[in-house]
Amino acid sequence: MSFLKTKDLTFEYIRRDDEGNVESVVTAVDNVNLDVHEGQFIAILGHNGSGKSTLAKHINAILYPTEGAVFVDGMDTKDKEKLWDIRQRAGMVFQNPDNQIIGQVVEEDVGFGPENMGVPTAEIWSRVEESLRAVGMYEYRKNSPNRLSGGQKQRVAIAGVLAMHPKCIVLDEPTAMLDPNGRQEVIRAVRGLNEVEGITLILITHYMEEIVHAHRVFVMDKGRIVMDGTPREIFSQVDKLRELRLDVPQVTMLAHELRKKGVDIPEGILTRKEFISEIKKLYGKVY
Amino acid sequence: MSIVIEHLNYEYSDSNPAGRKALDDICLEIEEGCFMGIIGHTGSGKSTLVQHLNGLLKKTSGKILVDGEDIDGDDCDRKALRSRVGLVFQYPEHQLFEVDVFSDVCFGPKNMGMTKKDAELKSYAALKLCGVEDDLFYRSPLELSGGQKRRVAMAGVLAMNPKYLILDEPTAGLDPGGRKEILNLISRLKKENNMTIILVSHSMEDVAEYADRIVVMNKGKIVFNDIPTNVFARYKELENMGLKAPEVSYIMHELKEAGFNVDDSITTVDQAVLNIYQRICR
Repeated sequence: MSFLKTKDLTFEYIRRDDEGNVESVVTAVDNVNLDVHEGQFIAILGHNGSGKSTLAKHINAILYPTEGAVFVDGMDTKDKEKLWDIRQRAGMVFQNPDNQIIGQVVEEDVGFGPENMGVPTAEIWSRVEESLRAVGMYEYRKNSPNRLSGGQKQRVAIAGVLAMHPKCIVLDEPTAMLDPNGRQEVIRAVRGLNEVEGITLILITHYMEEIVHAHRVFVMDKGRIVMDGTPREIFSQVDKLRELRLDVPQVTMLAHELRKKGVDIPEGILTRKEFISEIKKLYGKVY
Repeated sequence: MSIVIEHLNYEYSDSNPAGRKALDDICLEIEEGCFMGIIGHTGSGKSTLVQHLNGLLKKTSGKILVDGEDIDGDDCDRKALRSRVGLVFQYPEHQLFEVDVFSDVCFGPKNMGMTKKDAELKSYAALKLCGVEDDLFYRSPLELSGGQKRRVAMAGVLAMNPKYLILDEPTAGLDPGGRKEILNLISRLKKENNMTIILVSHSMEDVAEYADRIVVMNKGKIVFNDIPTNVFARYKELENMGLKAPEVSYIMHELKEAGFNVDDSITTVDQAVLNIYQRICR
């Protein structure tokens, strides 16, 4: 079932001078048509300024289309009456956890969302518990968020969104400020939500290795969707990705470079396991 | 000439006993002309350490000598120190504040007491070095893209002509293309301008590729201080500290375990391609 649909979505940042005359128009999102199904794990790639974040902000009605339309779970985001329903269905997690954690204690922070929605107190606490358990932060529920690591803070932020029982979570570079361990914690937690709870994930990232398990990848450039496919299809096009100021995981690059030297290894290798087994297939008999 | 750190300790003044000691008996020499990478998980003390090097934080005990001069000595000229040891923060674009790009870059050298003309010449050269195009010079810094802002902020530090350049996660939040541009610029500063580079990073791949030496920090202490190959050979210990080796190191280990005669101390993709090709594919 379709969860998110954008129809010819265009968004322009319009700058005006003191008299209100238009000074400049920047088209940040340009005629984008997306169709994301419930339960999918979608990744969006693109260089800085390609329009990813602007697109993401349309999904929970922080921004509205200049032209075209966005439908979240069948609701038009321009429909003001549906605003809270839309924000509850599609939660958002930003880059810097410090900007979105407000509570003095972890469990209070996670409870803020449902409380704000008017959920009865008893249910708030059960939601807080299940959300913190889902991201593996339950044992920290009485801690102060200030004392947590970056990865832990980000998981608390995710739990805060989860407690609103969304159908979809949009993550805008959630790991950009984290160390390798923190990155892994966050990615594991959100993949778990997708696989176990069936929550639709839309992950924006600059770390290519985080998206090898995505169901579908969109690549943006100048506000448009320029590539669309499975991770394997996308990562098979190393040169094109580089032109778009992107990259591929190291293992993919290694296979690509060997292939250029004449080794008969396929493009779009995504994991170490695949790489080792391809090398074994080709050269294993020597031993 | 070098930066020498002897038995440096730093304690936060608040009374939480668990997290009080941010730096614990740090001894380190940073030789002139080297490219040093500093890695460690969040909260391991990396940023606290580098903020001591130009006197932004005041040690609890120990000694820091920059080119032989004690930076906490009474006769130490702090202003001169800060132009000699330049520090680019994480998210340096948050420090841009002037009306246009050019004035922003001029602020540092003018503040150092340079004449207007000298400051402008230095700033122009620094902006060029960082690859900032002329037509951006009179734009407001707020209008630039993330990568552009970061280069302008770096130019602001470079305009003060530092001998030692410290960068605290300069590529956080940049796209892979921007990341590569910044790292190539840093490595050029080292090669062509003979600058000493101290790079704090969360990317094992980046330090493996660019640094001559890697310092690993954990709980306020230095655990390793060695060349990249030797540091990443201890990947199991790194994992226990919340770090890891570059992906390509794991590939080499797994190939070796599978019985292939490859060099498992390799830490960059280029080396790996060559090694696998020569040892296996030929």
